[in-house]
Amino acid sequence: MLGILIVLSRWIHVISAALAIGGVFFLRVVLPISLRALSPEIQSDVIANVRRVFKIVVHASITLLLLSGIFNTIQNWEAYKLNRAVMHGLWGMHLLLALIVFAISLITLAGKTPRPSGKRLMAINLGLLMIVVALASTLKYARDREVGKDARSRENIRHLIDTAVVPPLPEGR
Amino acid sequence: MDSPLTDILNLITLLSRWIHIVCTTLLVGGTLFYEMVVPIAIDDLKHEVQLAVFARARWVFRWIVWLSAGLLLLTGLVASRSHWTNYTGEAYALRVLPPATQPADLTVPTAAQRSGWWWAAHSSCGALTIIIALFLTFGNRPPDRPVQWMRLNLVLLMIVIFLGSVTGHVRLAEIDRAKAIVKAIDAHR
Repeated sequence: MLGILIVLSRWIHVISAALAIGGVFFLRVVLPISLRALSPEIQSDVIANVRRVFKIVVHASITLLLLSGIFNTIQNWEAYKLNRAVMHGLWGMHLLLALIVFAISLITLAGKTPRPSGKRLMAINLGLLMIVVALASTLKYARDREVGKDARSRENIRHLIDTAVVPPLPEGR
Repeated sequence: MDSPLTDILNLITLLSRWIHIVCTTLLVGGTLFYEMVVPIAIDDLKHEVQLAVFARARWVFRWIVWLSAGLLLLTGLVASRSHWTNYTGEAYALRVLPPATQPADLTVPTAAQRSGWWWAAHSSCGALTIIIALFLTFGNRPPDRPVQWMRLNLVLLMIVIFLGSVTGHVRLAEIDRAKAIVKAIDAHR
């Protein structure tokens, strides 16, 4: 049961991040080019509509990221203790930058009309999101390495069995 | 202390994981935005203007899809290479102990407990989503029923991410099993 919850929580965390990051990229890069041929009034109308819908996606993503992030942290906390200097550093930076990203997203999408600094804030957020993902993948990589350290290789285990007081291995096992 | 070559390989693996996730986010988030957010946002515009916006967005998004597809395949190969011995069951001694010496919970794992099968499902389903994404963005005109295709691909992408999460989880569970085996052997010594 716990295994299913762990997988579900990771899945929700990745999906929410994907929707938020991909959405910010589309809004900041793809959409402005797509609307270039339209008049400025129509452009601002479309962007206002996009903001309205995207706001719902971002708010839902932030909630799910926080909930799944708390669950993931509780589950992995023991593993993070295996190399405190590296993993607590990465986890702390990941959390801190993620909270900054949430704050910028909420500020940028607040109100009915876009802020004058909205475009710049969105670009900063996109850059920060890339760093947050990099920190998360490095943290998982470091955790996998630490967790796997004690699991000895097949050859080592064969050697252990050969020298242990256990019956000899049958062929093919 | 690792050798410089090992350090470089570790760095490549690390970069590859990052690129794999970033490309996934661009594909999933972009598809959702293209298929669900933009149609609502341009609903008030004339039909011809809507088609023009969609066509231009498709033209820009195509480059992102192609670049992401190429990088996903490349980084997927790097990740598969670095975990290959886990997927084949060679890395950790999951089946080396004779049954007589195995505690009850250390019997041979079932297919669902082996990360290799989950990896196969993740990579084959991922390849399918990439083929659909390329099919949708090749040529000057989208295929018939593009929205339905995109919805199908979005659902498949969610399944691919789920399979990726399970693969990682089962791989870590295999490490735990290997540790338990080591403990059991040490207890016999």
